[in-house]
Amino acid sequence: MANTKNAATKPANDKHAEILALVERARTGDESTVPQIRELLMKPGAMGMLGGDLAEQVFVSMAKSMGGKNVGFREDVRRKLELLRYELLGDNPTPVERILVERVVACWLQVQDAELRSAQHNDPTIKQADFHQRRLDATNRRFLAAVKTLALVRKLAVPVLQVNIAKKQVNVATNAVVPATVG
Amino acid sequence: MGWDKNGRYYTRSKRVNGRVVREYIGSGPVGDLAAQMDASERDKREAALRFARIERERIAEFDAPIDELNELADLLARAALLAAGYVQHNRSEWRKKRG
Repeated sequence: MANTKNAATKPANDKHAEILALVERARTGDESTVPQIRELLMKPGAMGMLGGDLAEQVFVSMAKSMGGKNVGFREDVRRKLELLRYELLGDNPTPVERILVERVVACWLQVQDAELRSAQHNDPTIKQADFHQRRLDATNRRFLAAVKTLALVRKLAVPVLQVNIAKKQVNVATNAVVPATVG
Repeated sequence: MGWDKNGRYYTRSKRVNGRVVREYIGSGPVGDLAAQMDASERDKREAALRFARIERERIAEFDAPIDELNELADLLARAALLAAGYVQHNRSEWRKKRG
């Protein structure tokens, strides 16, 4: 089981390292990396391999930790997450947006978990109360940062990336290249 | 907390104004009862500590994949913004690259 999991995470780790290297080169001004990054960001397969499993892992881990064996609770949360994801994704999300939305959903869940744990303690010691309060603050901060990043990428990057893809779009019926209408 | 060296008196130690003061509780059944109460209190405290440790471990287990997802999402967001021609100024604002 562990071997299967390791085998599955290895390509994701390689991809992670590959992106990290690309981003680092782009950050230092290497223009040649831009087409590679754009191509990578628009590949649903690559993005799914990177983030899809993680999102499911988060949910499974949450179900185990918050609900225990309560199947009803687990399914309620799953439904709530699906609705949240649906609302945030909108029409035609790019693969990057999908990962960012998964992150927002996961962070929202983490905030709920932190609130629940904090409220469950009727008579906590000062140290425990402090631990839960700090976790609640940290999860809230991360959730807000996740929402902000999603909004930022949607505002600045997604229009550019979508135009870039549209430039390469081919109309199969007429076999003609469709010119971009924007930018 | 415990019996004195002769095993006759049950004592409790506490700190008063920075000094350790030993309080003699009693001998015989009174000492036994105080010893049992203290042991029960100690067990309760240890159980609470164990429970808190287990809970912290569970929280860490729960948070680990989210941390990984956070790291990955930040990386991808940065890549998307760089690819769209933006650069980050002073680790905060993203501005369009000139030229």
